[in-house]
Amino acid sequence: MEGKPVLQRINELFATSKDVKTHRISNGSLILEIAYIATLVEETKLYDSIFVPFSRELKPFADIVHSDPSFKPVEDPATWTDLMLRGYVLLKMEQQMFAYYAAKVIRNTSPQTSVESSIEGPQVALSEDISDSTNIIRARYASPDLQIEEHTVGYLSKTQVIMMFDQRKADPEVVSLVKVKLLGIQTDILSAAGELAKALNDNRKRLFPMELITERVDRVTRGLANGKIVVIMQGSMFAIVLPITFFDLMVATEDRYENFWMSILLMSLRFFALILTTTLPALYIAIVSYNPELFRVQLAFSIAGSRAAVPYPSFVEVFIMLFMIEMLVEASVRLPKYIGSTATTVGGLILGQAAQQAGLVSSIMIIVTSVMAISNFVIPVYSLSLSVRFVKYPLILLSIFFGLAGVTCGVFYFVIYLCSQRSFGMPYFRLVLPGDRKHADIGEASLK
Amino acid sequence: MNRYFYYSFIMVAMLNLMLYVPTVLLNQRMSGAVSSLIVAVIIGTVVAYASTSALSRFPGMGLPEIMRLYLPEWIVKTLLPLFAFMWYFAATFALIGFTLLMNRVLTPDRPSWQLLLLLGALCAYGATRSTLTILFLLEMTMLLVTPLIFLMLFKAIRSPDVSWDAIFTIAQYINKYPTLSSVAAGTFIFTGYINTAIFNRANPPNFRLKGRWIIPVSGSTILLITFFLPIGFHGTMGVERYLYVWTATADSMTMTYGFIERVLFVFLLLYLGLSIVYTITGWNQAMEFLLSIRKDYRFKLDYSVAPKANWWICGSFFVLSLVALFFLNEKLDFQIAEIWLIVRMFLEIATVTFLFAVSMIRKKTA
Repeated sequence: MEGKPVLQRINELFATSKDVKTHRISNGSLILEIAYIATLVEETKLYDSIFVPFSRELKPFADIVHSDPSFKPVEDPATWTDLMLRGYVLLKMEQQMFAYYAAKVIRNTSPQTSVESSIEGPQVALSEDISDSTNIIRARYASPDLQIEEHTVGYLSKTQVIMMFDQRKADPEVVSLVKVKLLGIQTDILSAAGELAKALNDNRKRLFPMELITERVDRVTRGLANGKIVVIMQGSMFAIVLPITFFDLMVATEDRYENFWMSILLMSLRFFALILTTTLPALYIAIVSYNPELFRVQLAFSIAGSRAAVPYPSFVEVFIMLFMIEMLVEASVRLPKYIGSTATTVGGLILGQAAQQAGLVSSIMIIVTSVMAISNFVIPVYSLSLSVRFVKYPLILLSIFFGLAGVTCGVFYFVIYLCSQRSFGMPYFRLVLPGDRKHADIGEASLK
Repeated sequence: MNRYFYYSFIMVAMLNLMLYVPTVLLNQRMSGAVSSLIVAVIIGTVVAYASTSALSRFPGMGLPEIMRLYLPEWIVKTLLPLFAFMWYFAATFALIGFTLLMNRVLTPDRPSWQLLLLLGALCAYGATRSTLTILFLLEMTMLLVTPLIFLMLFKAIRSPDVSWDAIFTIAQYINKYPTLSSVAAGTFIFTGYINTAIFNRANPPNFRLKGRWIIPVSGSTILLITFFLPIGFHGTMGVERYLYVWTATADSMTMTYGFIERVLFVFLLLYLGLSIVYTITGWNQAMEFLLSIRKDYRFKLDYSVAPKANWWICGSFFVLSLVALFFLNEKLDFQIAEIWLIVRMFLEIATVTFLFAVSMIRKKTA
């Protein structure tokens, strides 16, 4: 702290900004130099804990500073800007620097689940403020084994990232891998959980999500109890749960809360929907253009009859309808809520009907398209349903050139691809039966 | 883990239903096939038991590693390419056979090499993956495929079109002496254990194979279905009129309720999946055998990026299979198949005998 006075140095550290405040105040016995960024700091907190006690001096202010642990002594001048940008107030008193946390964080108040809604499950979602989220998780996972580590990611955004796991249950290999990945992230700005998840992954061109992004607290705590690692970040109300298997993405949290048989039924429904939404358009092309004899005669005739007015091959028809449905889905996601429903009605009902009457597409094709679109929405995790939306296009291409054999080969390609994926070193696409934990696993030596 | 062994076993057993085994057996249905079935079940079970108990003494080691323990290097270096060829040949032969079949039934109006181009590329891609990936793939395929195949076989057995008289008539030829080619064809159903030659590397140290009774039970059930069901559908004499007897058998079944009336298509597509996975396991193991020729090769069970060597080997496998397609046709295929089935049986028995002897030595020394 030699050379220039502290306040002058701080003023030089920042670009000319009006909200960087530096004051030098005195109450007769003590001189206090104080610096903070006014827009980041809760002013009432500042008055209550610094200005008022300082000027009144019911108790000597120096004693307060030395006795209250929330005034942290700061040694290294290099951390000054960092602290101030995070909402700390810097104080200089008697040749010593202190930092006091008085940040004001703007966040969504009392968050409700909106993306993954559930009827009877917990309705509170994680918060955009990291300490609120930690609070919510801690309150629901009251275990002394919960280990919490803090990191900072992003050269400019300096986003706080918290990694938490149950130290008894989490796999130490995975923990150290995730730590290495977190430390190695090179980015200027980090603004969403999806971005963080992408950065944690080796392969940026991957097709399927290797981690679960969720806003639901019950998913997070369930994951912690199963030995998974949870990563949350400041400014996003979504947590990243990893490592996962493909089947974690197909489970809705409600499956655990509802009737056993109904959950089984819903689960099989979801897998059925997964198969339908990926293969149905491709199968339509393959069957109509290559092997109509696959269907029973009556059905084959009625499909051919409904296609009578359509002047071009089946794949053109499929492309028209897929183009329309993808546009509708995109439009309804981006539009404001009130217009969104109108757009879907106009598109779905009127355009579909009209396209069929105009002879652009067959009526069977409309059914195929809507079944495909609806079954896509059955998939409970959004990132997976996006991936699945993509999967049908390669299958369609294969079906155009190779018919049914092409579709089968395409499906098997994706099965191989899924099997070869690893989520943070752990197998991604495999069955884990209840009895498996008792026995040694295949390839256990290499997995660890 | 137990189930991965049985996946491989049942996959091979079911796959052979579509390929050469029924044709060889049905040709000799009145001259010794029936008694050969019994002999085949016994030989197959004994060999499978011997190989599994022998390999369980070498946890975490594949056949190449075990051979290096007991045999001089030059014998290992000559035997490994032979094994690689055996696995490659079995897989490629199945792939080509199935390509010809698919082409005949599904897309007769286009050349068969186009289909092989697609299937071969897929298999080459799959075979470059790691051993663990292939085990997971086996599991998923079996989950997808077997329930439907079992449903269809069950429907077939319960079908009113099956003439049980014909089946009993043929069954009476049990008094004929077994023939070599029929026994060889019958034992091929049991040959799924052979995949443990490489997959044994993935087994954990304390691995014990449980439930080995599944081997004779499922093997003989599938063998009996393979042989007798076509006779039930087509009659004692009519059964020899078909080139692909099981395609015709599947086409004899109908599903009365539902979108699809002809079982054949579903059956073919399911078997397409099975034969893709069979070829992938075969090529992958052939590749591992070739890689193991180098003495300092250290196998890895799992990798996220396949090494370049994998791509080169599997790529040449793919090209070789394409070239082979132009020399093969169905008639030649069946002739080769009959010889090959016999050669394979003896080679396998020799290998398993070696393994068993070696495991006995290990038991004594340990």
